[in-house]
Amino acid sequence: MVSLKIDGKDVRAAEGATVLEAALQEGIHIPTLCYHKAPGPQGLCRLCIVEAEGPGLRRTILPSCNLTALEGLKIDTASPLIQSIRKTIVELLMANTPASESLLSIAKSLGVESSRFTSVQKDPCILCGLCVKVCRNSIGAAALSLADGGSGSRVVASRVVIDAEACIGCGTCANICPVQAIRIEDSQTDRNIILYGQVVNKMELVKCEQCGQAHATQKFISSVLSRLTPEQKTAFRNLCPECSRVIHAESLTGQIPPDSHCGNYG
Amino acid sequence: MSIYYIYQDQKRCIGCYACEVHCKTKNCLAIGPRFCRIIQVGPKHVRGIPRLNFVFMPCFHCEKPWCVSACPTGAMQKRAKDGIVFIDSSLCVGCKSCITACPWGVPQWDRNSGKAVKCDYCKDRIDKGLKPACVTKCTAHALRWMSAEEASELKRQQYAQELAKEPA
Repeated sequence: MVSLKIDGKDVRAAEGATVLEAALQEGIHIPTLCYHKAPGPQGLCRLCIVEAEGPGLRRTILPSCNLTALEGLKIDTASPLIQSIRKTIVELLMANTPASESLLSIAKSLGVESSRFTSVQKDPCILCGLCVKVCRNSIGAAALSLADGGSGSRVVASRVVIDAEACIGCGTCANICPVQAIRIEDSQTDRNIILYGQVVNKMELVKCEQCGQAHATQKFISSVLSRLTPEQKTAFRNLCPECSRVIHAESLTGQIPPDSHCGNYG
Repeated sequence: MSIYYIYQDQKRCIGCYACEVHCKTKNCLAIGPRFCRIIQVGPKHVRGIPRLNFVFMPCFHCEKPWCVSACPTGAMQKRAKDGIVFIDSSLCVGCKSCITACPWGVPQWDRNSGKAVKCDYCKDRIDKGLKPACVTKCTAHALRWMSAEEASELKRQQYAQELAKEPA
């Protein structure tokens, strides 16, 4: 355990925890859009910046998601300087994107009503890369990537691109996107993955063997099966969750001896 | 398997759904996810008599849980001290692998949080020495909280009694 101070409060954090995690645990709210514990910190949306000072560290502004909680650190999560920079970051994000609900709510909490900046991009994507990271690190499909970045480039990235062959159609990217820039639309037969308003991948949905309802893509089912043990695989049936429950309940009642009485209640 | 077991005496169950209601209330669940379910089976004719069964289905907290194997982020975990299978929601990315993998359809989808949720036997209550909400509020005392050993003993006794009860 390490001891640090966040907004004047003494905080104990686990070894290796980040300042953002330590603050969350203490109920100190730091706004963020691109942070998720599973794929790990990215430091891309910059909203979680804090002022940090400590042994061997002069007063610096750093993203708290990427900053390890070290012994003796002093953190300011909402100093006037931080608030002012954070407001500018929000304005820059808002300039680029037609306001998503989550961004608007952060803007509102900071007292930002409109942006001073304008831009040509009119898509909610803020290029935070959370979808890319989740797809690669958590799902293991690595179907998404950021295009046009790298050395010699004048932008960090221009857009998110999809490798339709690698995509397993799980929909986690759409689920995790903090600004709802990726959408999943299911029809009776297909799953459509929509990025920047365009259908970028269309995958056939597998039907539940009991009720016939489309419930998942074959590639996703195969990916789930690949993580199961051989014994678990043999018990796997292509059923939607609702049918799984009902079929099991029916099999149970078939086995229970009729009219058995417990006799433990008077 | 978890060291605990929720035993349902189907003779006592009247299908009032109090278990589901109190589970949802205790776990602050919105419309949609239901951790435990009463599944109505029937009416079926048993020896010429129509019979309705209500089967109580919480999570079984398996010994080798499908959901834990399937989870790619380690959010789905088995508690070492008592075998309770639970989700660390901060690690859940909402891929639904657990929902697809579970043969009994136990993990549920919470649209509001975009995460999977499931029965954890009300582990916060267990840790305080209380029983799960469903058991505590079962109106007909059909649900009983017991150890897995007690449950297997009880079921064996019942089955023996049933065998001894020769049809007239």
